[in-house]
Amino acid sequence: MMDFFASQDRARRNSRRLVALFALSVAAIVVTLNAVAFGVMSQDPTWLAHRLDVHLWVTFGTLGMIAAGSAWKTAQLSKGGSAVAAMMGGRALAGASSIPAERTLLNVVEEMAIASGTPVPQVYVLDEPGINAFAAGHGPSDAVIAVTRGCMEDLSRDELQGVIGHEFSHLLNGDMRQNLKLIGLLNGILLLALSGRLLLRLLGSGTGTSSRRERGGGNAYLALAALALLAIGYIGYFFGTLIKAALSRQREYLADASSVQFTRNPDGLAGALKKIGGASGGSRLTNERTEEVSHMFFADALSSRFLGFLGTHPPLPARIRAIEPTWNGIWTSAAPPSRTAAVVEPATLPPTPRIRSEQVVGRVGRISPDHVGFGARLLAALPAALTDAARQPYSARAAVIALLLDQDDAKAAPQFEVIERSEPGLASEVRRLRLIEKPLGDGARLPIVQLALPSLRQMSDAQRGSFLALIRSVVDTDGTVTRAEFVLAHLVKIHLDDRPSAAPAVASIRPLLPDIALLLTELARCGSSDPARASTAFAAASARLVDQGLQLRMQPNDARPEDIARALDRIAAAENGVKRRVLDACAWCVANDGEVTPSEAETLRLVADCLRCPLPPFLDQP
Amino acid sequence: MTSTMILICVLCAIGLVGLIAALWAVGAYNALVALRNRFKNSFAQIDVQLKRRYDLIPNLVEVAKGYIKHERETLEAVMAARSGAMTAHGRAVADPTDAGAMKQLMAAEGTLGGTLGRLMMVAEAYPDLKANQTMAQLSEELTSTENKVSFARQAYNDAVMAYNTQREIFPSVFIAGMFNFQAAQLYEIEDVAARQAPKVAFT
Repeated sequence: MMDFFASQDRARRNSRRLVALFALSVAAIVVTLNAVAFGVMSQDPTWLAHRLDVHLWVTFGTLGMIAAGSAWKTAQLSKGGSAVAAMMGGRALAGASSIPAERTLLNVVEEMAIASGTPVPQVYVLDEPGINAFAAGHGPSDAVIAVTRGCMEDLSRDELQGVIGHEFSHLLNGDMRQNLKLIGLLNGILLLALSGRLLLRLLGSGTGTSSRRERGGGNAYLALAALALLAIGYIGYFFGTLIKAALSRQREYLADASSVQFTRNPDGLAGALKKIGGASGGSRLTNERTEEVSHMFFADALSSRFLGFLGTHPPLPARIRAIEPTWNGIWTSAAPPSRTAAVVEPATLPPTPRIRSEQVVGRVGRISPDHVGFGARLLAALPAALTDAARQPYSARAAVIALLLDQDDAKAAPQFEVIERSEPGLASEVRRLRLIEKPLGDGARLPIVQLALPSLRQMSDAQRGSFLALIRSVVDTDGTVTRAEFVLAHLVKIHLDDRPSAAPAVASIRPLLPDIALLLTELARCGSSDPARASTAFAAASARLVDQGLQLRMQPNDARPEDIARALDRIAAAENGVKRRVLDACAWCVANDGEVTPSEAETLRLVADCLRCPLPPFLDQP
Repeated sequence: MTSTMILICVLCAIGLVGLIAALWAVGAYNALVALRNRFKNSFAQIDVQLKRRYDLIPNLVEVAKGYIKHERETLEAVMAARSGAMTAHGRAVADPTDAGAMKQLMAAEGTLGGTLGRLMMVAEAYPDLKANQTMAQLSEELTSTENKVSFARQAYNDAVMAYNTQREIFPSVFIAGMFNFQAAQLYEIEDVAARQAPKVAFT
């Protein structure tokens, strides 16, 4: 089993291979188009004088068109997962929904998110009878999971869990980002074909009115050129699809295997696949935009693929046999299951075990069935008043703000004043939720934020802006900002801001040294007000990084929050090898005695989340 | 240069302009669809809260019934207004883009708010009812739901506004006209006094 960073790297390598293959097919298209142009010109000696001009026009025209098409689509997709879901006509589920099928789906997604340490993705339902699903987005902050109505209604809870596990594996493996890139790139080639078609149509309407012989002759050439454009565009698209299919099929097996690993229940996923085979609608979608995004789906979304090598997904029987080798080949009919609520004992949560600092990095992005079980138990253990509140935008704000208040009532009083001034109703909600949250302890902080995030994303831009401003003033009002408060506020901010980071992906530690020093300084200082202990913590952290003669110095005490936020963003954008080492240093900074206590574990999980490395709750078994 | 060449150049230029126009049209169309989906989706948040309110009201009426001796028609008016609002709600949920249905829902919700306000006023005359624990809890929950509705309403109206603006600005107004993008209805409660009414009870 690869660790999180390795599988992210694999996805990036795949992306690079993808871009190379794409460039190759673009080059092939340009050469072919030039050859066609040459063929046309050689029929007419007057053209040959302008040969060079024509070749230049053809080459740059084609490249420009492909670039424009790709850039346009990529820009369109930069809004992330919700843009894709909206494009497919998805209906966003309200987190507080009480319709049984919707509730089950939302619960399964929430459990899996808590298990993996990522924010709960927004869930969309596509109004389609076929059984299918997809995950989309650039990363955990803007991820969405969309399932078809058939998937939500016809699958049992276990089967649904298998499907959602599969989608979470795409989310954790960095496949989603690659998917978006693919849609953008292929659009450039598709545009070529479309413009060829448009040109043909324009010419078709033009010839009817024209009577001049000469113009007719020009049209013949143009028609030929348009036809060539159309043919070549589609040939390019064919190759693009081939690339897409080749990459996608391999990943589907991987995601299936991961899903079984997450749930330890091969019957769930296999059951879902068997139902797809048995359902009349299969996994097909009727939406006309399906072609563009077919490679993101759980199962083949396009009707009857007669060419197996073009399929974006392995054949169903092969996938089922990979999970359940003894399968007898009988499909299951997709009858709606009886909805029984999962029996989860609302037991008290196990204490977080102490782990060694050096073990932290290995646990990033790895979920086990124990984690999924833990997610379910934690959800059941949280008071209903709190989960209810976190699942709707109005009170989700209060649930998050209550976490940022000072533990000491006297110190929290001025903070309450700030909230009261901005919105009196919210202040009483915060008071109510603070009483519920206080006894839950540190372990519940991150899960509450995870649960609240999809609701918070439902706010309009204006509401989001005033909420973030309120958070800032609440944190600023506090005399003593603890480590957890600071990181929590930043975490909420980055997950609500769905623009992809503009920071460059740095491949080595050296250019990031000032940022790393700043982050470690803040972590060291927040952990202890005693300067001596803070510098011990800092030294323990830098000892993990300085093997190449790098020098890390503690920063002066006047860092502004914006600087720290920028440092975190820059590190988050870095290559995986860098993030891995920084996170390791953070683990030593937070727990400089080499042993991570439960409250230190929570801080670490928050920092890891800020660096876009989801760190699951610490359980005995990694 | 032969006239054929010139003709081809002109045609190419026309083609290029046509291509750019087509690209832009597709983009404008997609933007409108995305904004429409967004406000439809944000109606879901109002929907959840309204449903919760409809569930709370019968319990409230049931408790009040035990105390209120006179003016029982207020209770009946609340229940009638509730079922009227639920019908209108069903239609609006089916298609949030239907401005007519949304207006009906607003009107029905206004009536419901008004009758609830009257019920609370009547309840003032019954100290025993005011002291009832369940009643206090229910009306507290009603107030909190009311707050949530108005927060969700704000988000919905922001989304509607973004859509309506996109629909009306030049040049996407042509696309909106061509593909029949209807103006969306803001969700407003006209009678502010009626909306406030449930809040003053038991405070």
